[in-house]
Amino acid sequence: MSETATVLRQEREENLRNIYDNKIPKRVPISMYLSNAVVAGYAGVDLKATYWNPSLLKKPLLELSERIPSDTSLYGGSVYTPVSSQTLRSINKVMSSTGYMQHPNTRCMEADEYDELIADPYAFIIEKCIPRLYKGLNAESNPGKNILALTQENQLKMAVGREEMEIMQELDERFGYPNGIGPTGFGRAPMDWLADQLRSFSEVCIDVKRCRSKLIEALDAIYPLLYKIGVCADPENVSRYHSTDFQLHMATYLNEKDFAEVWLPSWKRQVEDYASLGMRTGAFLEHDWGRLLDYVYELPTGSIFSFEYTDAKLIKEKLGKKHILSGGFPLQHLTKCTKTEAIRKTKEWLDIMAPGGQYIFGFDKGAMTHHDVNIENLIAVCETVRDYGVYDNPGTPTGEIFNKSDYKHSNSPVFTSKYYRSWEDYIREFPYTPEEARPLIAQSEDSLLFLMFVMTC
Amino acid sequence: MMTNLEKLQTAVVELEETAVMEIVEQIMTSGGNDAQAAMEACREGLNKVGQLFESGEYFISELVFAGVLMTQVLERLKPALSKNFDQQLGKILLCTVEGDLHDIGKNIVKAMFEAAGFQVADLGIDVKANVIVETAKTENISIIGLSGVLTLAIDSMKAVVDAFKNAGMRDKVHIIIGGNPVTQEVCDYVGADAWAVNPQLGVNLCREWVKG
Repeated sequence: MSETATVLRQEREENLRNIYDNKIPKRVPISMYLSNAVVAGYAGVDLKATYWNPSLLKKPLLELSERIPSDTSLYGGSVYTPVSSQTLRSINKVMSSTGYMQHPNTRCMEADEYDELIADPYAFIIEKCIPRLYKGLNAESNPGKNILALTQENQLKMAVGREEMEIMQELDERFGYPNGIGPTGFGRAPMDWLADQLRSFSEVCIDVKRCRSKLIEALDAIYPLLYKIGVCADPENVSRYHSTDFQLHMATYLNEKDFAEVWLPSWKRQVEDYASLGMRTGAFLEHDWGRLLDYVYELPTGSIFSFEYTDAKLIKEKLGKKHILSGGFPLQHLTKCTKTEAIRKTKEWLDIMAPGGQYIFGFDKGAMTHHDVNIENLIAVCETVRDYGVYDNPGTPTGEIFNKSDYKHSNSPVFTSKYYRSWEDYIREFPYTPEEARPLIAQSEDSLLFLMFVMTC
Repeated sequence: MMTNLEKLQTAVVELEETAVMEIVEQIMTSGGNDAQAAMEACREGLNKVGQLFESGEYFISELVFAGVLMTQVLERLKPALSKNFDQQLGKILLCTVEGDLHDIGKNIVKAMFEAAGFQVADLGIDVKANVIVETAKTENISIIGLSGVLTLAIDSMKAVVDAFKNAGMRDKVHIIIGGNPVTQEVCDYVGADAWAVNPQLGVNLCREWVKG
């Protein structure tokens, strides 16, 4: 790593650490990310090929990272990829004809299956959801080959993942992106998971009205699973410089009553439970949360909320002291504005969002294709944030301080399932297994649980 | 004292499924003579649902439910409706444009159009411009409804409008667009004839087009 990159990394990490530590940073940090589709479009590379051969993105990524002064890496690899979805014949992650991976409105649970879900959510995922979502794993529709599919997917994913990792590491080393601070955990709000993956967005809209109490009962039943997925398992590793991040989805598409009575309670419980352990929550507030900001305010102090269409002045005024804000800058300014206009809008934006610190610059949404991004304007915007978003009082205390003692952990039952084997179960079946195997078995059970869950995300 | 049809309209507005279906059932068990009037009442109710959506009292969740409710009502009343009820306003082509796999909005709109008396040719999701033009030509459809959720759908919608121009058919069709990224500015860019944030407004507009 070059000396310049080392210095840059230190500066960036200190800047971000200041935000996490309730201090004014030297300048507004810039958090930027470009999808495969944007980078491929920029370079004139076939998007579909990049999923299988990420090295096609390396040259353009090096060039873009050189040109765009972002404080975070532009590249995060692929979340949805045909490497996995095609191998497993997925119906919940599908590539469109233009090569863009999407999650269609699918369901893998029927309205009359709530009791089965409630009885053992993990068993329901394994027995019902996964065979329905992944035809390649379904013993009936893909006999024989279903035995091979998961291993093949794992092999392919590892091969492609290694290439992606190499690119990420090279970018980090060359450009000095921070690596000791930021999101490390992955969480789903219970009702978002149940809606987006199990029942589907549209079916849950119906369930909210037709079988509300059963839906609420199910949210309670899946809570231990969702909690376990997002919690930092080792208390030694809990750090306020890291967060468990949520992509919130359904909330703003519901009326306030349904939001407050059905959607919110389980997620609020989750983030408050995490807060009681000292964990920090990050969440993307999809769509416009303007009418729901009073509820968001009540969430644990120091949560990081990136936002999309919520009015900037309103969110800054309501949440800016208690929470950290990020994102929000309209992506469309990159294509609808001239360079001069984009710079002016960036300054106006910073005049709203920067005062008092507690803000990380970013866009309201990720660009989907290179048509969404005028690179020259993107560079101009980021340079403006870097140069205009400078504070004259770095290190000054700001914002409300988080205390984990302000939050009480709920009485949540321990996660159990017939498919989640405890050491006691294991030793009962294989009594000659030595104690040395215990951590390995436990880790393996947790990895399997995480893998199965991610397949329904 | 409210009549059954007034009660039906109110129940649709309030999305009271049980009440709606009870009234519909009563109409059918008493011979179905009021079936056509019941559909009219439902339509009035849907107009109000659309208004409540626009004014921020109802949300997507309510629109989805309204769509499902209307599909049920239509299914139950169909035997008593005129034989060509679902064709009385003609045919509309509906789809999610190329590159986009989202269909929630399209399906809401589809239910509303069917309840209004349109026959809907639903081409599904991720539909290429040439397929849309070809279908419009072969099935002689003059109203084209294009849906999309992703920003990339905007360029695909524009490609559809351009494809109609290139086929010399632009003046033979009305094109209406809708979905998350759609605004008047997007409508202008795409070159569509109209856009609708409220699906029922879209339905009403298409009724006007049909009537000429």
